[in-house]
Amino acid sequence: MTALLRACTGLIVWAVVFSLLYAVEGMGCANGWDASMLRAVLVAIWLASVAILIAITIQTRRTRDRDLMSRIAFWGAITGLVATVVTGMPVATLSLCL
Amino acid sequence: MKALRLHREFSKIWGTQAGWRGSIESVNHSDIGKRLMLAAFFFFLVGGVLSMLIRAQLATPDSAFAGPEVYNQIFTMHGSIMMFLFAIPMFEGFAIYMLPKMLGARDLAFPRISAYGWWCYLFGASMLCVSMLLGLAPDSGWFMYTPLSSKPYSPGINSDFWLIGITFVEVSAIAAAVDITVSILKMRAPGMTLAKMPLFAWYLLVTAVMMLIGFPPLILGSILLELERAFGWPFFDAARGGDSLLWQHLFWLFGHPEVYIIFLPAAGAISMIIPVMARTKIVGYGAIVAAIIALGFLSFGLWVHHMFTVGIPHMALAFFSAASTLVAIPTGVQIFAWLGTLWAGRPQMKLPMLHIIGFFVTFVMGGLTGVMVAVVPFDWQAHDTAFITAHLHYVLFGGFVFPMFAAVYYWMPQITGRARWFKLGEVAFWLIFIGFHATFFLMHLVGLLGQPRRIETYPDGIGWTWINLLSSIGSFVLAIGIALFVIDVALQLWLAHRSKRNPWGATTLEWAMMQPSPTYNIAAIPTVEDRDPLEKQPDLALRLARGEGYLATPRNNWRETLAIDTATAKVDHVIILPGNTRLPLWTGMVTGVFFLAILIKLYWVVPIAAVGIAILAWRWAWVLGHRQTIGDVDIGHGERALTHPECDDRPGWWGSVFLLAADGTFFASLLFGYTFLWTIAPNWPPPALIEPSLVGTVLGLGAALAAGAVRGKRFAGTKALAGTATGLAVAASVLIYALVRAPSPTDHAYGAVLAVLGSYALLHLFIAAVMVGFVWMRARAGRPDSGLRSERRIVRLWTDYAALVTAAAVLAIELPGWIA
Repeated sequence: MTALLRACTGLIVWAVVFSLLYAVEGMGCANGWDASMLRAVLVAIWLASVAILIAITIQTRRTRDRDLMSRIAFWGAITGLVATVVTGMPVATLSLCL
Repeated sequence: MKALRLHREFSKIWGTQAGWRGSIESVNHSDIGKRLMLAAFFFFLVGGVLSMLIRAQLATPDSAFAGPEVYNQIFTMHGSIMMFLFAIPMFEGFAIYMLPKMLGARDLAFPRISAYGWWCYLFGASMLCVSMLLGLAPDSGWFMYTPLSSKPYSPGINSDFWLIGITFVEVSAIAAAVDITVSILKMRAPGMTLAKMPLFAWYLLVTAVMMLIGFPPLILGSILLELERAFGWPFFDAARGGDSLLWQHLFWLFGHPEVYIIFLPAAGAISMIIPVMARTKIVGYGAIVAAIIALGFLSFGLWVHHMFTVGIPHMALAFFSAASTLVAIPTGVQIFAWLGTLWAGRPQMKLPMLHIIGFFVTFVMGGLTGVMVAVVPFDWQAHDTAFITAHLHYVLFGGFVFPMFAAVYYWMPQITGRARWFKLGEVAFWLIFIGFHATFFLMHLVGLLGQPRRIETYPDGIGWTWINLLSSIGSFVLAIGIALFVIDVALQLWLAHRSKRNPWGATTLEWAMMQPSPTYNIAAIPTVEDRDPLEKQPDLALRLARGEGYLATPRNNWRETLAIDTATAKVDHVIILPGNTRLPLWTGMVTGVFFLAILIKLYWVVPIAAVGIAILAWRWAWVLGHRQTIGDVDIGHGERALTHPECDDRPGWWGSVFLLAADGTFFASLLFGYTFLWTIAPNWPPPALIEPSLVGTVLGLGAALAAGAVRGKRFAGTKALAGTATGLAVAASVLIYALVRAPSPTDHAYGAVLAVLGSYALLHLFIAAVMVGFVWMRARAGRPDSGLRSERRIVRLWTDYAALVTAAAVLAIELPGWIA
């Protein structure tokens, strides 16, 4: 089970971050938070998660040659990282609450 | 001679008595799998007939073939049948039939659960079909959007049929998902590590876990909508603090992963068929596994792309648009791996391969239009037009029906033991292929010309007429092709000569047995050394039949199969599976009474049926386990292992873990709904909040904590048992006290949500209490401690969960009052 969980770690982080960004954006807009503060919070979550995923990717890279499941864990981490960068990018570029 | 003797002895243990008595008692995975597949195919034909009625209606402008009321029922039932009664049960049936054979096991982990799922599916599907025969079929579209499906706009029983019938069928899906997950993790042949599993098992593992996470939001949504329709609890009524968008969120949280839940098993079949047809090995096994896992996750980040036009802020739309385009990458990885396999091998253009090519062409086109509608501005143009109908049919027919046809032709010799004889299949394929594209490619065009979905007619002279006519002609060509397919398969079933063993030269374990397979699958369980066990040992079928492997000696009338350690694939213990019984049928029938009573509003029957289910569940568990300590038993190869009742890591524990994962998703979806309404819905905050109670809060949290802490003693002594029971009772009292104080559930969505939260926690406290009582009774009945230990471990898991959700419910109920 540990090998399976490791294979999913990067994507689990992505799922949590994705939900968090959507939830914070929704709550911020609904409750009329200050726009610059809302954007700062969103960007901070995004960048922090990217940093975490880079760390996970480096970690899984070290053990990727151990066996197939370790290699899948590495690819999973890369997928999570790319997915987080791409799906989170709108927090830095698009207008809020429009 | 030894093989024949073993066959007779194993058949006696695993067989089913002839006649209808045997049929209703059978829990054998081959029987259940075949029934599910046949029933699902029957519903495919029913759904197909409905689609022909739709095309007949739309063939000409101003058609008077069916009025809007009947037409609404036709398209709603077409979608609902194809999604819930055909696609999901078809792959469930296929998985239930094929998975143990591929894994080198004799059955699935929970044969009675498989049988119960079958009965639930049969009764739930029958309920929906009866509605159609009565002219009372659901008519609000297969996604049942509120407020159209709410009481004021759908006052009849039609929508109730959908909500109750589909929830009933979903019980079967959850049962199958738990069964499949545990079987893959625990019941592979020794040596078959995760990295050596057939790809089909990987696909099913991810699919089953997705079902456990994806289906609960729909079950929750259906319960909430039925509560609104039956009792006026306003979850979706904006005037009283509800929000119709909550339904859309809950529905599509299920609905989009559902597309992948349907596609992935079909892709699993493709991954098994292509290497055999190309006479080579799959290219990029690891990349495919990584892509499946990625799809499993990413597909949960797409649901809002069905809601691009409802007014969600643009930034949020961009999150989902990005995820929707991103998901094409792991899909593309699989497509290129399959193409690479074909490129590396020497493909044979046999009939399964024709359908695979049909899949490639159709599914890739559907995937590309999927990327188009993932882009928000395009989606705003195409939303709710026939373009979307075309896109979803390209994805689902291409991604599921063509692969399933390929799978039918590929595995039919394994299932029937007969070779294909009459060459109708090729003609059928071309008619299906041409008919499909004629029908649905044209729908893209008419959609871009502005034709909306679900319209019952249209005026002449706006450029849609000839496209619709050609599309309808195409649909009838498609129908003729499917009729020929049915005839071809029927001829193979009843008239064809015997097939030679392993006619395709495949290398996976499902071909290492008699054709058709015996009830016990294999007389001995093999040791697997690589992904293609038949490649190095082409005579494996004979060796297994002669008993050269594990558990080759029948004993005590036990239905034995092996459990392994998930990571190392070393033998862990022996699972003794239950024999044939009518318990699943009775439980399915009483569950049917429960749902039927809700449907026809005989509410006094509901608690009686619930008690009936609890009694049957008690009986279900009571008959398991040993009456005395058995210790380790001989398993062959000079090795010994314990039997599952005496192991902590037994399938029941894992089954509980995954069932609770689904249950937890249900609870999380409820909390999401609560937060969503509080944040987004109009008319919030509610006119009156619950008066916070210090005693209630402290006592509720304390009791939940106490129940969780005391259970640490594993219910070993009467004091621990009494402590846990007291904790559960106090927690229940606190919840009842909170429900009494809460505002009326009919006045505002706030009160309705609190009522559901409290009831959910109460139900779990009740379940935990019954389970605590169960182990206490087992101890009193003199069951040995060697068996009770693992049962206590399972009960501990459920008690922990009950304590956790009670604490969360108490906080969710009391906290807003305190903050205010």
